Amino acid sequence: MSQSEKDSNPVEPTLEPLLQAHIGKQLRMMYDAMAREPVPERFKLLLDQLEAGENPQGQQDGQENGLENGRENDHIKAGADKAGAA
Amino acid sequence: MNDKTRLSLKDKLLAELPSLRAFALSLAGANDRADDLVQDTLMKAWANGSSFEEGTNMRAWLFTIMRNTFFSQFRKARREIQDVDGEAAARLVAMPDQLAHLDLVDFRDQLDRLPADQREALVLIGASGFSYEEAAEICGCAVGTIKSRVNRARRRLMELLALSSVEDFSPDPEMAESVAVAPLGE
Repeated sequence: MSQSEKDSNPVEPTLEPLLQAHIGKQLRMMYDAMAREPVPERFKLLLDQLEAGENPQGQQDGQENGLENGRENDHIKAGADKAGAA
Repeated sequence: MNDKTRLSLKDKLLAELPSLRAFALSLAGANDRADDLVQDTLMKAWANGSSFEEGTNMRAWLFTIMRNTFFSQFRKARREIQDVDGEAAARLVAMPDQLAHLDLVDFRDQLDRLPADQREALVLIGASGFSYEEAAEICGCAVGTIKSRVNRARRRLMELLALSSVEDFSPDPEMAESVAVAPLGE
């Protein structure tokens, strides 16, 4: 019951390092647990599809290598070409 | 030649999937949204594979794609992203009765209460193991901005935790009652 800690700050100075450590630990535990979750099969299938050159969204035809499927990629290709030329 | 880089891109993406999912879950919370985010990121990464520079950090590159995808969807969903801070503060003020139950809520929920940009910075620095410089690059902002977001995130979490730990140590009226009643039994 120390009277020296009459602060408007809800976090007492002595608690702070403990809470910081607690937060850091919780954060890493949570993240590691999420990273350990089994990866859903759909992502492996998606990558198989992409590799096979199928367009999973099925909007435009991108057979060759999955790269030529849309304006965005043309734009990026153009950028890559430019970078290659430089 | 092209086939070979493609193959290794697939392998690298497979290897990064667990991290990508963890980051997506940290950003988006709800599982469906997080997995959609992973899918969008994989497709963009594949389409833009040629723009990845060999020898640079694949994870940082993927996280950049993911967070840009997330925040552009986020912006579409609600236009006033600039005020996420004030908004979250308002939410905090508006939920004093919920604070009493914070000890029942896990860390995850407390983290979800943070504004998305602060949560992102805290996760990148505190869990994903990126340096402040790398995180700044991923988020496309200054190192100082990352530092202040991390600090604000830590402070807010500390306040929430401090409040919930106060709850933990306050006497439980029901328990006190049951203890007082018990000796009366014969």
